[in-house]
Amino acid sequence: MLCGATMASMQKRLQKELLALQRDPPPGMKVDEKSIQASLTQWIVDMEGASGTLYEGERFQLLFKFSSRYPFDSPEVVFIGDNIPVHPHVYSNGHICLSILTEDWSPALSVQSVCLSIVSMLSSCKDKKRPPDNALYVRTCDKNPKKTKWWYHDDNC
Amino acid sequence: MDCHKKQLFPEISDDHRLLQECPLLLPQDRGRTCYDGFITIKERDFRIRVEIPLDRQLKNARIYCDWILQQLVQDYQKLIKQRLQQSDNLTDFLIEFKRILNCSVRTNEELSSPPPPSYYSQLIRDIVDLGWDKISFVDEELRNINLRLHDACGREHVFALKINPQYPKEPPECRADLPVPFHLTWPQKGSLESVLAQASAAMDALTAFWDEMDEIDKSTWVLEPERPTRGDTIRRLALGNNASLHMEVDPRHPRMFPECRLLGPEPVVTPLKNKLNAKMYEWEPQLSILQNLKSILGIEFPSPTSHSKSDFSLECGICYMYRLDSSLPDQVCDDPRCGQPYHQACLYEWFRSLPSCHQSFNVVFGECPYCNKPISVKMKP
Repeated sequence: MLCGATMASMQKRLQKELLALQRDPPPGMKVDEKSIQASLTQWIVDMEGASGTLYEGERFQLLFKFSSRYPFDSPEVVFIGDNIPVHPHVYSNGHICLSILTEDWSPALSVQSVCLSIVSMLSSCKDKKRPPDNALYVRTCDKNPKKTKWWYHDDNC
Repeated sequence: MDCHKKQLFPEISDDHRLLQECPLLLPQDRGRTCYDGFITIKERDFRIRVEIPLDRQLKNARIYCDWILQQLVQDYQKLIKQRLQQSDNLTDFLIEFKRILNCSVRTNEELSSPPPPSYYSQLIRDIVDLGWDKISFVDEELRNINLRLHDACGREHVFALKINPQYPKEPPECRADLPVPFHLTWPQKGSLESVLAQASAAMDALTAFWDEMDEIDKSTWVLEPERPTRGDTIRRLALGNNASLHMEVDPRHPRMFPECRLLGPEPVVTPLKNKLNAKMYEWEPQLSILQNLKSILGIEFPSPTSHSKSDFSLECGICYMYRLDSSLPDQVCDDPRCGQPYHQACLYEWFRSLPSCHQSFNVVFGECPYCNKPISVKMKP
């Protein structure tokens, strides 16, 4: 119904988010400007493990993909690159089990708040290990983590 | 002569009528299957040739035009075809055809010949009489002239004149940024002078309106229109707390109670609405709109000296924009601690994608994406 309008508004919103992130990035986070296409549908965010946590000194890369329905649709977010954090909610293929990326998504959230949630998810980890079903999941899952029917656990890990 | 194919209809029994309409278009044969000659549009003759098939079927008739005529009819092909099919005989069609061409020539003025020398000498004389200081712009062809006038309060107004080639016999077209239509009456011996006199009179009648609007624009934060022009009668004023007052002022009676609409979160707007309704009769026509609103609503309007515009023009929490097409984020979360504004279209679009929202008649109920308090939105009209 809103096709043309949503497309334009999605790009304008992403533009604003991008500007805000570049101007005032949260600590340890940086948008990889080279990764951003003109249409803004795909970004890579470089992030560092917070100091004082199990991930201190590690560097990760997050890939964000936005559909034309963003921000009504959540972005597709996965870890990419050589270093996928070892974490009970992060599969070795980079998929992240985080409810705000699917059913708890709200347009009030943003790239920045998603990044912060992921940092805090990593920071609260007490035991670096892969999810128990990692092997099976990685073998059988769809490429798009949003297609996974996630079963959310609590965050006390 | 290049050609242009067209369907034409047949049966020509009325040579006489045709002779009156197009005296220069003559039948070339006894069977009346071929006409050649000229068609006259705005005192210019264009070569045209019409061929009607032996079966007299309009479907197979053809019109050949010269190249200037072709240029003129280029954008009207569909219309011409339609007229062809609707007309009963050649004369009827040619009348319609001429009517279409008349419009086309009006919009293709470069094709028509320049006005006679007397046009220019008369116009220059009139400009000199008027004084060049009243003229803010003249184009190269001396066809468009902007008059610059100042009203009693020194506000500058521009009247854009498009001078008719028949000037001074015919009046110029006049455009100005006024809240009311400006009708030029053209006396027998009209000149730029008469335009000026009427424009001044029109401005005098509107001075009171502009005074009101200037006071509002100067001492309040106008959210809408973004850059008010002299012709705008609508203003949306910031009231603070995400509320605003939308009003439309009658330019002919500027000090009368304007049409008002309060927008914003219920808890902020409801008491103001009640005050407005209860004290409407206390409106004093000798006071300005702003003074009246202040005393009736019992508020001070946030002014540019006390606030910055970013305090009010809050962006929609979903699309991050203030203006979406022509709508503004006027749906506001009722929780005063949140007060997040949204565009109606954005909020509705978000609710539509949620299975948890329910709908009653044309209202959709959901939660504020930011604070999770209940918020409802009307479906699009």
